[in-house]
Amino acid sequence: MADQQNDPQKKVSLEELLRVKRSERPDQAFWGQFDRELHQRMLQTLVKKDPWYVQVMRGLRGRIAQTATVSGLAALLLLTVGRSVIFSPAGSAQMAEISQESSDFGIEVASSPEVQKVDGISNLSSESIAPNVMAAIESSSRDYQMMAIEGKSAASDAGLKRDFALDSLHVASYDSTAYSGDVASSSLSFVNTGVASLVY
Amino acid sequence: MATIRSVTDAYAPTQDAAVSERDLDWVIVQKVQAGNVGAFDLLVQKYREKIFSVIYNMTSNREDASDLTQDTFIKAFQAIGRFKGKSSFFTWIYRIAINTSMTFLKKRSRRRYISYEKIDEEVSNSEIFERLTAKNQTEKGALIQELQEKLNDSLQKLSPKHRTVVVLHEIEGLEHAEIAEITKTSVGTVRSRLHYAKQQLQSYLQDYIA
Repeated sequence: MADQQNDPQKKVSLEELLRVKRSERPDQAFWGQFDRELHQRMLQTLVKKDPWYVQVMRGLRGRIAQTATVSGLAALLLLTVGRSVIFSPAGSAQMAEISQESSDFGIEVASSPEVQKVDGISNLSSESIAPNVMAAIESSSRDYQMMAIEGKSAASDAGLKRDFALDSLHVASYDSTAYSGDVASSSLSFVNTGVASLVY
Repeated sequence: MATIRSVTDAYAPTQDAAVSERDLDWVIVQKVQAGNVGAFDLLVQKYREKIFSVIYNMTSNREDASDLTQDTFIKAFQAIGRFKGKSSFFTWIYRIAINTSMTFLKKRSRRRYISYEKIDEEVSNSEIFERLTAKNQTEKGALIQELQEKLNDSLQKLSPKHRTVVVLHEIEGLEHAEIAEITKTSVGTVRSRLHYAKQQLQSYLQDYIA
């Protein structure tokens, strides 16, 4: 086998020729200089400051990420609390209680906190207000209930009609211009003071 | 140096047969990631000659190869925090070396000059040169120089992709699967490129082979 390999007539293969390239190696002096240069460059890399635009980009990226995280958490918190208020049994019970009280006076409490319902008050006419509504208004200490009422039957007393018409118009105009948005979002929130504090 | 020794000692008890090179490298990488910058020297010492050889055979220029090898280690050092150990460190650093060489070769396409390393004396006395000298009836020293020039020239005639597989397989002795992982191609692609590249080299070097 060895004789066959040393045979001068034997062809040289491509693989053998390429293997010659493995022997092209630098000497030890080369590696000494290589190490010195590399260490120097590594030190430069460690102490080198990034260009200003890289620093700005990094700062912006950090700020955006921070803002997004805070906003996301706030939104999540709001959603969680909002949902718990709307669907909580305590809230429903209080709403049912208010509805019951209101119906005793012939008042219907709006079940939904939509703006349209509240704005609808401005459309009330003196004829559509029941006479017992006034009594309810006077006896009730909760103003927000008044904002969410609508008349049930026509009134017969002109004096009452006039008085109430003025009052109701006053309340309605007040609501629709200044507080329509607030009332809409807080008509249910009044049930739970925690949410009210968040909304305002 | 003290740092290197302490790192070596740190995992010396686990350095049995069961611990592979990959695991060993991963231990060092984790040390570097933890802030032990000196541990990176261990990786440099281990891979510098292999990386230099790959880049040298890709560029056929010893000065460029030296600079690019340093660039490779600097890039690896800067990116080592992002190295998750999904592939071996060996594959990762080879990939950086190949990419660094490719980028360099694209820029250098017009300016091409060659500067060689010396062929090891041991090899120049080997039987392959005995056979070549006998066949070509030439003086050995002249033959070695001529062959070296011809080999480098032939490699440079190949496209960088074909050169990469020849260098990694025929010169560095890597397996097809390892080359596929480094170059992010399939084993089939590696085999096909190797086959084509060898055909090309056969024709360039037929004076020595035939």
